[in-house]
Amino acid sequence: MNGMQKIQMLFEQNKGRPLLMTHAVGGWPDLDTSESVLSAMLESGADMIEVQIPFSEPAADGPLIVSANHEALAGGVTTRKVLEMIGRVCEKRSLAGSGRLTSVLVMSYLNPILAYGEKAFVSDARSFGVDGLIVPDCAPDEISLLPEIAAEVGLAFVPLIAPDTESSRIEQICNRFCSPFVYAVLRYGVTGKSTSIDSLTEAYLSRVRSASGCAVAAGFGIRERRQVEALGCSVDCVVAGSVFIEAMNEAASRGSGMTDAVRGMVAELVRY
Amino acid sequence: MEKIMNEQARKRYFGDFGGRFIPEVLVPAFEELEEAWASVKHDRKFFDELERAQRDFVGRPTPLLLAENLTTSCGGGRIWLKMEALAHTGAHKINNALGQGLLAKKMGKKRLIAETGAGQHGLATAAVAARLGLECEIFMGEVDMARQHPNVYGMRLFGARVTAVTEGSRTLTDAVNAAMKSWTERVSDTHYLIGSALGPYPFPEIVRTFQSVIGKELRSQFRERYAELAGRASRDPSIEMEQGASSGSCILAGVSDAQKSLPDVMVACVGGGSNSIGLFHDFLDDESVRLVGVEAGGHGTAPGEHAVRMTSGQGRPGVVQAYRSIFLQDDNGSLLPTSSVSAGLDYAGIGPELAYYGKNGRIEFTSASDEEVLDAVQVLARTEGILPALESAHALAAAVRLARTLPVGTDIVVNISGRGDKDLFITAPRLDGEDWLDFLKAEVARLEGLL
Repeated sequence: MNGMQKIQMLFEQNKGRPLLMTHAVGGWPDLDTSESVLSAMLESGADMIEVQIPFSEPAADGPLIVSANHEALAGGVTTRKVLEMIGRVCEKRSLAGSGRLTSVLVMSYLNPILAYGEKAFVSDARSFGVDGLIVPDCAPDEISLLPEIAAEVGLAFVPLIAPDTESSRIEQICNRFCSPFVYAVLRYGVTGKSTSIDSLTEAYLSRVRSASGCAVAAGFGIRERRQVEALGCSVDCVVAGSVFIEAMNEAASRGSGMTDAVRGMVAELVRY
Repeated sequence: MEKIMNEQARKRYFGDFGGRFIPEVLVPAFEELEEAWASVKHDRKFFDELERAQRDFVGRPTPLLLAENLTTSCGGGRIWLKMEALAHTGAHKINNALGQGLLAKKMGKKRLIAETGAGQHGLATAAVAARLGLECEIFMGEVDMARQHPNVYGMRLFGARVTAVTEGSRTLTDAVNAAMKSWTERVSDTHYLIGSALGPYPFPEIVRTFQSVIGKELRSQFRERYAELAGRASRDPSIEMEQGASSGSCILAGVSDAQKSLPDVMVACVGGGSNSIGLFHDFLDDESVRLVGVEAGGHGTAPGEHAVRMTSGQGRPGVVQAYRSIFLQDDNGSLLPTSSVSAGLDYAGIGPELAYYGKNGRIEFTSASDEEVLDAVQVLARTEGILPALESAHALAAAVRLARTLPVGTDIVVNISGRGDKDLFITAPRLDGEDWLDFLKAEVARLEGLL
């Protein structure tokens, strides 16, 4: 089963409830903690996690995620080390044999992937257990072989859709990028600030669903269960990112464990 | 579909460099900009209005000055100075700010945002915003705000809001990120007035178009000034008698042939590259003209000690800040820190068009160290009574180096892209240490008494 098929199955098995995709900056605050955090997310109920490759210029991210990127890099984290860490998390999970299907995606800006070598990156990501890629600056109408290289080995290449993306463009993007789901960005600006969910959001998401013809994940500014519930009927997956970094920062400042904070946050967002 | 998309994308490139790697949220903004740009690009009325404002607001054409004393002291090629430093707000930056300001106004935008390094682009944008009645916000790295405070003050006088950028190295790179992010939050009434010939398409083309006035002016000015010089030579009998001996020989050497339409060498400093592509662009097809870009050599050759992208061996192709070019980057694709005495050249990337012409050999690249640059500032100040910006002094240092090796009679044009008044707080402590410190102390004491 390749990454695409696995994600597809994840959505099919869980029809009727929105999946939760959490986000973490790989190797932040350090590789060991990051590894426990990823495992904790999956154990406590996250269905998918997107692990961000640290980069000096994270153009779509707000201050919290930017700082986490820079701190990880300052700590000597490399792209390779993050991929290896993902490999350990995936291996541990398959050994534990928990039964619940989960999936790990990598979020990266284009340049770290180009520096690694596109083919090598895709091949290593796949062998370490990654099921898909989210690359916010790999514009669908730009010249890049990455989407095709990912498709060749069955890695999902997740399209990002914005509130003003026209339906015809959504169709074009989905033709270019192979993925069982699209990621609908809920508002303008960068990650981190809260987003209100209203009837316009619902209209937008239903338009994304019909134009893309596939499952819809939505995120940017998801901070609490209320928002997850409000989105629940319109989407197949809710994405929460900065809120985890915030929770980890708070835990650190209180002197309590980051992994416990992450578990608590997942429990807060997941509704079973 | 993929093929069609790729064909459209090709148009946004200079060879392998350029492109538009923007997040999806910015697509409508870029489509709007691209459409507006296509409609004014060949619009005579738009450019007539621009030319009037260039003349009356900016003070164009800027002079082309033969640096006679400097030429004589170097004892080689003739050095000419294209005096962009005399443009309003003190640098070439106003050429682009004015052009894009008028474009924004035509697009019905109410607000300009911009990044700035040395502060010259911020100052120019703030002045244009004031003149055109637009709101203005400038993003500037905290480190640059500290070292270029007089420009911060100037921007505020022009009514702009100056926002400190506290992320990353807190310099130009981070200011570009911050401006682009701010744009994603508010695109409908805001134009991002990018300051250099870089970033996602069509910015490199827009900025180059508005800056290419420098080279276009130079072409006719050079022909005229050279003819004047030939007139002088024909009236000066000492030329033949003292060939190569008198102090005037470097100035009038070889000009008896009366007509010369092109300089032999053109030199400009390269940060992002707007003054250099502006100077060079009109001459790209004139193969006899050597085009030399000068990067910031900083204080050493190790990564982090300079901003030399083209010749340090540390610059590699990549996609950063939404365009493909040569970037100083590490093995993980993260940008390397840069260092330069001049904030305006302290940047890890280079405009895609310059990267293209650098790689294909049409434009040569060299660098000048912080130390050479400080020397060049003093040399020009003493020989010609002109205080160049630290950025422009890079071009000057390289031109002086070249002039010494080139035969008498060779014509070298240097773009003095900005004036050095803004750098007083950087140059004075190094060149006038004790006195400057006493002055600052006295000034602080006086202000504390007043405030």
